[in-house]
Amino acid sequence: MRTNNQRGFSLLELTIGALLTVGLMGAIFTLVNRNQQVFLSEASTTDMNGNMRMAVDLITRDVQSAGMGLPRVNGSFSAILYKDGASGAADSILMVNGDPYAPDASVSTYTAGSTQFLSVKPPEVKVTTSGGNTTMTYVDGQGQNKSIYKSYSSDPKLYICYDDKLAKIFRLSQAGAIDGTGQLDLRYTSGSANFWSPATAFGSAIDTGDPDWPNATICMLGSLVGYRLNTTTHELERTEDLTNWFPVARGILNLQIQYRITSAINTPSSAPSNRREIRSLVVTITAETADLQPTSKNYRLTVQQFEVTPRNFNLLNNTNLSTNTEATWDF
Amino acid sequence: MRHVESNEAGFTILEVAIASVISTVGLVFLATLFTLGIAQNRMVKQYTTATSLAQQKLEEFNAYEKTDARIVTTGGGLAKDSTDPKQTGYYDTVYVNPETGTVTNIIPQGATPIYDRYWKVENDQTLNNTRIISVRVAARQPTVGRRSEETTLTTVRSW
Repeated sequence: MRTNNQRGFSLLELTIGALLTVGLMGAIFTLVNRNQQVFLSEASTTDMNGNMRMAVDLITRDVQSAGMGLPRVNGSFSAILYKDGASGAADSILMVNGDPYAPDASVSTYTAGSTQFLSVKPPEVKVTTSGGNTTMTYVDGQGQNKSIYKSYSSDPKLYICYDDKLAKIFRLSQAGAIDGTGQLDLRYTSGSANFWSPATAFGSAIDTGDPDWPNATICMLGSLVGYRLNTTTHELERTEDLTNWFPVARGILNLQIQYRITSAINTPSSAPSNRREIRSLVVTITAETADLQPTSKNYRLTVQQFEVTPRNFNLLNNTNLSTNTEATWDF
Repeated sequence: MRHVESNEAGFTILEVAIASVISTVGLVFLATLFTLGIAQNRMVKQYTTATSLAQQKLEEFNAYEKTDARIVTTGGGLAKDSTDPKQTGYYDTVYVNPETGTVTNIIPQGATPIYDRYWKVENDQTLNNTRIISVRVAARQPTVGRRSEETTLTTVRSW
């Protein structure tokens, strides 16, 4: 028998039910949305911190090893060139390194007219003459024989002639030779595209001149490591050849560098005129959450300042491993 | 006439009160997780900043000339206990500006957090012309409890 209690819901009940459902769904979606926002914000913040860490880490390593392979009696070539961004614009730096295993030769005479350097042949360079051909080699860190002083066309290596502060980079027009007096004879290709100052190539305003030739040293060039900020893409870019710049960190808004120099060690300055006195770099990096618009409420900024001392610059004061303060450096 | 069943009783006030207490306890417990998260975040930030400040001081020591009195003269202390007290000229108090990132000795009114930095320069027992430099950085305001976030870093400088 059919019972009478199978009544459906009344319109009022349905309306209340629907309203409750909509209200609850709304509340749940608000929570989910908020959760999503927090997730996005946290992921972006982690990404921002990662970018900052990458920038700090790379700059620290490169600055610490600046001047590697370019020894001088009192330390090394003051290998950090800078461009100071005007009125608060981002700064950029270039670090010059020599090949750490290639021997260095002391210049005796430089003759611009014949595009020629005469130098003392480094004792580590082995000269072999066979059938009228002279080849020069040295032993690298892995014990392998490596050729040196070949012409740029047969071995595209660059060489750097430097004193404490100034330098010229050049290409050899022909293979090195030993002249009648036993000196190493190196000839370079003329023209500014083949014989240039790292400062000029980098667009640095200072120290574009010639080294003091009779006091200079010639070494095989290692790497040119540069950092600059791309203000359009907000990427920190790094180069090893001054031609190809690769982004290494995203969301970087500013890169400011100050230099602690010996004559004003307590107050870092942004544009030291004497690079020879540079002892440490105080770097300030500003990073943002790269994937979020500045108008987003989840947009974050972070700024970090750190200091890093190039380890090769101050060897006169760091004749590590030796108590002899007059130690000479023979790399 | 329709028979009205008598099993439609709701919850008693006691049941509702107990349920409410249980829910509240649960919610309060969950809420503490949020505050814990925030506190941990601040703690990590203070540890990171303290380490960064200590590193910065060590790099500064690396930048000094070997004739600089600050590296030549041994002394100082890390203010860890009475055997290693802080000494004049071997500590400072710094503030990290969150906007510009600059580290400054000028502390703005009411600024938090600030960090106390102590350092010590010692002779190496076996090597000549070698200094052992230690830097201890402690946050002035601990995030939780009485123990503040701090870090101690040590390096060696020789010439």
